[in-house]
Amino acid sequence: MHFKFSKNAQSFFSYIISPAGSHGASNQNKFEYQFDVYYCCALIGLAAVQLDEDTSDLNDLVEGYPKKYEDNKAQIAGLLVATEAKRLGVDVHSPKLEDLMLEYLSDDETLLSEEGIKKLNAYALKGYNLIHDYPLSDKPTSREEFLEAFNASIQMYSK
Amino acid sequence: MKMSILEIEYRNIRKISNLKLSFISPTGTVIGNNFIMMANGTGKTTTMSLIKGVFDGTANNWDSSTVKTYAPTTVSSNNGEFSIKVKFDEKIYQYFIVLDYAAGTARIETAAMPKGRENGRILPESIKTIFTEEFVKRFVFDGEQAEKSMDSKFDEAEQTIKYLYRLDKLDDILSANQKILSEIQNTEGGGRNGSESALSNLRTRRDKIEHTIKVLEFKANDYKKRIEKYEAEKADKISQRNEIDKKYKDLNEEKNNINTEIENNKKDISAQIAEIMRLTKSPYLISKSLCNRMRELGLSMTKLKLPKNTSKDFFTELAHSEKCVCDRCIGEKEKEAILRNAERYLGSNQQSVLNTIKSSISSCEYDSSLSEAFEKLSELQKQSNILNNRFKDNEEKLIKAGGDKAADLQSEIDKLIGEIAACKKSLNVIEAQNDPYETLTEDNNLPLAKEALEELEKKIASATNTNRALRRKEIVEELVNQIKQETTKSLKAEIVRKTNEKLKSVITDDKIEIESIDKYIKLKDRAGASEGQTLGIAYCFLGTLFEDAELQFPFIIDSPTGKMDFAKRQAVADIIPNVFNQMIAFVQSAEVERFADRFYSNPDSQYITIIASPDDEAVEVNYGREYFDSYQREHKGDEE
Repeated sequence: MHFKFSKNAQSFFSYIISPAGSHGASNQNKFEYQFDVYYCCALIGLAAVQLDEDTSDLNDLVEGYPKKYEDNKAQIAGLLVATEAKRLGVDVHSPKLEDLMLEYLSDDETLLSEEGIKKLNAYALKGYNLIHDYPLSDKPTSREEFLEAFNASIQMYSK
Repeated sequence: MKMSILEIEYRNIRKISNLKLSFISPTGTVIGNNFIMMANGTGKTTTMSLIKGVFDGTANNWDSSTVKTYAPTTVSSNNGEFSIKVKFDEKIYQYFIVLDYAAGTARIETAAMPKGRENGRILPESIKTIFTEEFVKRFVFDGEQAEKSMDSKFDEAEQTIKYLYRLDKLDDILSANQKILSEIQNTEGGGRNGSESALSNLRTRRDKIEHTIKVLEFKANDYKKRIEKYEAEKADKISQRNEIDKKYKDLNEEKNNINTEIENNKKDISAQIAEIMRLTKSPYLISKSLCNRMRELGLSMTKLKLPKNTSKDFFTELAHSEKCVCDRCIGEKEKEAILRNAERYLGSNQQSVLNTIKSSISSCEYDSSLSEAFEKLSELQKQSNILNNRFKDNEEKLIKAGGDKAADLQSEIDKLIGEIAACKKSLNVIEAQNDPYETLTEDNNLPLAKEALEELEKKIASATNTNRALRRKEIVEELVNQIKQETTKSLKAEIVRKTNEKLKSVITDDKIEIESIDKYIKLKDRAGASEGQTLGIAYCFLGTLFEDAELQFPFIIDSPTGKMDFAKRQAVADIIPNVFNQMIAFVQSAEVERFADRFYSNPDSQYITIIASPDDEAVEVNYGREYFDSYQREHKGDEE
């Protein structure tokens, strides 16, 4: 199962990400992986507890986490479950929590089930929509511009 | 096939009224290592441009202003000529660029036995299609080319492999494949399902889209060439402006200081971004609320005793036993019930996942490290703005001091920057896979045009019952693309391995390794290399490519060692003779030490020194090692 990102988002971030399929760029103005930007957008969506499940504009990004994210996959999976519980109003102290975990987690390399990856993609899509609404109305031209907007979005949309 | 340069001759070109340089020994053999030291202003860059122009055939297209830059400066003449004598295996060809300064025209002529001089650039049959502008740059080489291999804006490295191993020929197969299908679809035979007029309409649309694709490919190529040309012009104008700036010592010193500060600031920003990305990977550092959310989940898991100690595996095993742990017998009914209820428990692998997650989130502790990192980044950006304003102020002062010439140069630089941006924008429209900010259609965008062509082919195939031909064409296309992909992949892996082996002996003071060649050369665990290291990497890369190629070429190079340190020069000097059958190096006096002098004991070497006469500035040629060596000692440090 691939992590997927919106084609519009890929285009919007084209100045700061390497072409699809490229793993790393010597160009210092770009992020090493497209996944870096996907992940930041997912964090915005997760912080805002908002997702967008429209899959019509999604492009395959990468299968499994880039190596640099391997050590943090359990935390990302935990955050996803905790956020879904909050969004769905599941009491984390009730046994229903276990069902939720079984739905989104698996013993796959990513620790996420297909449904879990779909949800993370949906948070990333919403995160992109949010950061694009405000504060990034124009295409970011540098990594620092994007990160500044990312930081502002987290402060603004966090619940 | 082996190619060697035998002779270069100039007549009425810039400061040279008449000059012949021979690369043949008194015994008639081709000399392997040739070092030509040309003093500043005697025509080193001019010679490189002329050699490139004649080999890639672009001299035929030079515009009037380019031709006029070659006009003689010491004598008055309306005509000039440059020639180069080349041996391809045993056959000798002599190429001429005939320059008419009054008319502003240039044309290439060729003389090859038994025929006399003929118009045009005539090459041996076996290499006729190889000598493109791109290919010639691989063996008529300059430092700029080396930098491009490392720059992600260019796909030099990929192109080099493509041309040298003739992978471009596979594209010809794809074009021929497409042509065959069109011919089949155009033939009258075969049953048809569509009406004649509908079919004719489809074919007209297909021909139109095929034409559009050709036009778009041509335009894209043209934009790329223009970008390259404008970049070169920009670099030249910037260097001219720098020369003017040097006259205003204090302002120039300030400019250099600001530039150093800007560079340092960029490095600091880059390091800070890396730090932010490192911290961001731990989501609990993003905000207190996210951290609390994760911790609460961890605590709940502990409270609910998740994952439960009893696993599904235990019950599954139990169901298949004869007796339960309580010693009662397990019959079919009990077995069925145990298996059914076992589903309520987690498998051991699922338990392990939950345990991993529980332990990773229970220990989450928010701290301000990420927010402090963002603050530091913001500080660095403020510094960056201040530095940019200081740079602008200083630039205005320098332009004012430098007068009209500096102002003109700056305005030309600005104009070139605008042209480059415009070309890049147009190129993006043609090549973009998807860009919601541009109105992309099949008339202005290649991927869409290709998609439309594919659709039309399917419709024509269906209407003419040529589905079988279309399927075959698709199979061939898929196979060729697969071959292309697999070959490129294997070649790249082997090239990376061999280049890294060479790099170990060339760069000994730093650990530099190529990770991959993905359009450009990507280094392992680092974003870039110094100028000297970049040249070293380029030589090792080219060395690997050329040593395995069937075709043997001479290596003509301007300033081969550039800013390399002594250790690297020595290593490069050892590599080049093993890789190229002939080297013609245009060196500066500072490049003799530990590079050219490494060849002093090699009998297959010659040394030529070209200087401007102090009387009339006309050039003088001095052959021999002694003169070469003493000249470099006296003039070391004249050049930058």
